[in-house]
Amino acid sequence: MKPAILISLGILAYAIFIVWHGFRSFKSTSESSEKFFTADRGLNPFILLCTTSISVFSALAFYGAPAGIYKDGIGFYSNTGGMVAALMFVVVGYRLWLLGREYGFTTPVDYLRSRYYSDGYGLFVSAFLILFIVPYVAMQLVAIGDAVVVTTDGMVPYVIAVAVGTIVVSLHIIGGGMGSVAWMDTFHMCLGFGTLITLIIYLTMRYFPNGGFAEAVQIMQQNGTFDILSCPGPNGTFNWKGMISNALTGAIATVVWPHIFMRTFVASSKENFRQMSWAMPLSYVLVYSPIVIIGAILAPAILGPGFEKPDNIVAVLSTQYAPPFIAFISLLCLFAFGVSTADSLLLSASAMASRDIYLHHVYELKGKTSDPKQVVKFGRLVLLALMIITLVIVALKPASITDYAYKLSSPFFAQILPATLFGLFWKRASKEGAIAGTVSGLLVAIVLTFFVKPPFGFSALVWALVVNTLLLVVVSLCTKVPEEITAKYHTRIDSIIYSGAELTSLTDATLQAVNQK
Amino acid sequence: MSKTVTILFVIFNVIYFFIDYVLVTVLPNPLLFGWLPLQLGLLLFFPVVAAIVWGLYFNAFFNTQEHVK
Repeated sequence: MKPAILISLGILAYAIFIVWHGFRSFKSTSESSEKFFTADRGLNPFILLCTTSISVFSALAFYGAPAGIYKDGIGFYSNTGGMVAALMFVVVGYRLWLLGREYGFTTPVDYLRSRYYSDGYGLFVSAFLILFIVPYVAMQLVAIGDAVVVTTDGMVPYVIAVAVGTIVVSLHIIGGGMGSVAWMDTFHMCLGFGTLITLIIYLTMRYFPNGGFAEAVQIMQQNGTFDILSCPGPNGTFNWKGMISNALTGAIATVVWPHIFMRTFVASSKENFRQMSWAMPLSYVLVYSPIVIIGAILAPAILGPGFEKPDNIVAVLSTQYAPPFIAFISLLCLFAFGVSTADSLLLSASAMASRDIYLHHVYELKGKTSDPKQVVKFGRLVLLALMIITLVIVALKPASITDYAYKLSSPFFAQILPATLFGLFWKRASKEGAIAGTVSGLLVAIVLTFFVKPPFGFSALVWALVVNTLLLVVVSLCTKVPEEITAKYHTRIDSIIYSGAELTSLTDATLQAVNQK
Repeated sequence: MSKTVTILFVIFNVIYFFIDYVLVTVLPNPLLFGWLPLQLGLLLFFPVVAAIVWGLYFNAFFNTQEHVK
């Protein structure tokens, strides 16, 4: 049988497995939105570690990071930001987790809307987060679709590949919600790490049998690609300003990306955060080191300088320089990275649409009692709608719209970082400050991304965050925060952390019980 | 958590991130073990040191949170 047929069958088996896994728990997740969106806040430390780490690594990390390193040198690794995301996940996440337990929060908007006592701000944040999740998800599926075409030698057409990818990802979440996503992410984390190691071992033993990495680096010294192994790199991109800009884009704001933010609420206990503090940076090192070695050493030594399409180096290495089995597992690795990011983001979009828009505005604000089953049903309908929109985008690939939206996704997600941090740690952060900061940050991000070159060598995101933070602080100093907000979000949480007060654990179940009395 | 420990933790992080974001770009770059440039070695493996320090600090911090169930 031809290798392309075997690879296609392998992809089909993988797709069926994912959908089956999601629908295994369809019935039980239909009962409550708490179960569907937060897996009953019961993820154990290992599952939380895997689902958080792999959700950060997108398909673009697997294909884009080696390409970025090949083009601009090892400084590109600064997009991990020295694993700062792990530190922030614990520092910020523990407080958010306490708030989630105390007040039943599930999404970033739940927290921001309540902390800044503004339904309008909540609606605004949920609208732009949902809007920019779709192109980001679309880019994951486009990367998968392109790779399937290359790996199967064109036997599986692009449209079929992206259609299968989109439907599989969507059905997987519709079936099982957060619990299913988290377990599948764990599988993908192991799969991704395993395939990266296999790819590196094969390429090293096949092409550098006499000295391994040392032989590869010697070849780099001779073929003119040695600059890749230093900062600021062959194009001078990664001086300290480039490093900071890249770290801000790729790492520091990671914790407020909607799907990562939501993971701070789903931990089963504080033990998750204790273990995440050392395990998350180590998991980054384990997964990212092989990616760096591919882009920094193996690709330049095997392909030489001036490779025409650097974005395709992983696809080319695994298909043209390795046997079909390696090509297949590399494709699975891409699936692992792409699907894990796409499903987590889509679930967070669904959670925000159903809880923060539908539930809050249709039920809570009108004083009506909500039906948890109805909320889950609505969440699933939102996922179906997002599936169709994503399908249209990835099938048509409207380059300009998707590219523009994708360029803005990361800077836009990051604009809730100042409001989140100041809301947690500064009593004086006010509604007016948060609105002024977030809106100005979004405007600066748009202007400096498309119309004006960002000054002094820093990225648009850096400037957007600076303006955002400044305005938040200045406007907050000129306005007042209601006393009950300070009591609820600062005095109460500080008393739990520093004075030994007990946690109330207010979740959907308890809220519903109270409502029914 | 004692104030001294917290201050030391903050100082460690300031130094760590300064090295990782800024200093690494101007450090000399000799090859270690015949294949690993110093700058790449720092970027790849210095986070392991950070993981150990963060783990120790937060382990001590969460020992103070026994009342949070």
